Amino acid sequence: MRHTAQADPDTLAAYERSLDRVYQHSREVMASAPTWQASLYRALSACYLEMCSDPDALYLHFIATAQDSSVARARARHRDRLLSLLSVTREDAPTPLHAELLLGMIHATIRFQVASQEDPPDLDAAEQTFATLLFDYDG
Amino acid sequence: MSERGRARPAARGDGLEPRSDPQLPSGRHGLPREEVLSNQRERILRALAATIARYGYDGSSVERIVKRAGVSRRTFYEQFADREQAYLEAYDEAAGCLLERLRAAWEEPGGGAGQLRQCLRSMLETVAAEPRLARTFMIDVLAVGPPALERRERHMRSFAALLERGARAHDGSPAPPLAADGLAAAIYEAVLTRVSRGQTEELPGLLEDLHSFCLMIFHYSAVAEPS
Repeated sequence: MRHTAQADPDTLAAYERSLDRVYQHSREVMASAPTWQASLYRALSACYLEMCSDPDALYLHFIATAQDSSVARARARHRDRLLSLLSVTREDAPTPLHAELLLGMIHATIRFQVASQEDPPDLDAAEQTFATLLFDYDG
Repeated sequence: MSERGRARPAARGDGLEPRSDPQLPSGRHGLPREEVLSNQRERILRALAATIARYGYDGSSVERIVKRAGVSRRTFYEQFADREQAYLEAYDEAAGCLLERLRAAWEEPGGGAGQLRQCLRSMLETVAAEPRLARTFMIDVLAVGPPALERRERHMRSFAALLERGARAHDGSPAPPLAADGLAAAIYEAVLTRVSRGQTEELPGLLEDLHSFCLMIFHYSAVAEPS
């Protein structure tokens, strides 16, 4: 991925607003999904779509998060509230650590793909990754 | 917000304070030059880790490091080109030491699942025992820049290779594509989260849940291979 973005205050604030929209959408869809896997699948698809709509946000979310402490903190706060939402809204949720590790694996797998390609994976390819990891889960 | 020059709160029992043994006696001691250089190097690296743990990377000047190490600036620059090089060498030593412990865990009896468990236990307990060292090498690495991040990626790959070895040991088949790399990254992030929050003492308590997750990812049969 060639894009680079500095995590200046404006870019970071825009990224945090993107995360807020993702969280708001997640609040709306997670409780109504038939299973916890489906609820995370919907939340992650919405997140990926949101990130892909803004190259800066995409870069911060998948690349700069491993390099810049302010971006890492913003994503960590978002991850924590998403995990908390899953735990609160889904009685069938896996253990908190399993959910955290699954989210971490999914993020890392997409990050490898984003970092190694000229263009980020399209939504279908990303959703395939979400599905493989989420629906193979047999905790 | 910059933490330059501001001391961080002390942590308990991190074993980072300089030991009483490394410093050589002053005056003529008749030791070979190699031994003197090795001793100085060890003291500098130990002092660097302790200084960064206290002041952060940005606040850890060479002046502070040499003062803590009890060596002169000239001695520092005889051993290292600059602070970054010293950090990178300290980072490599710490990561290499941890990876050695994890490899040793794989040599213990217990079958693939049992060895994986030993490996994870060793990792969690080592980081829990060194909370300030963990901050120095997991959090301050971001302040050092690209050379340190490249090293982090390399050591992460080594950790992933260890996990992959566990998957192969189970049934001889390779792990699913990217599974070991993704798992290594997820475990690193889970540990980093506790280190960032100052909750490293919780790490050993994650073992059973972490182990069962890894078994699931690599499609182990926990029943067939009791830990």
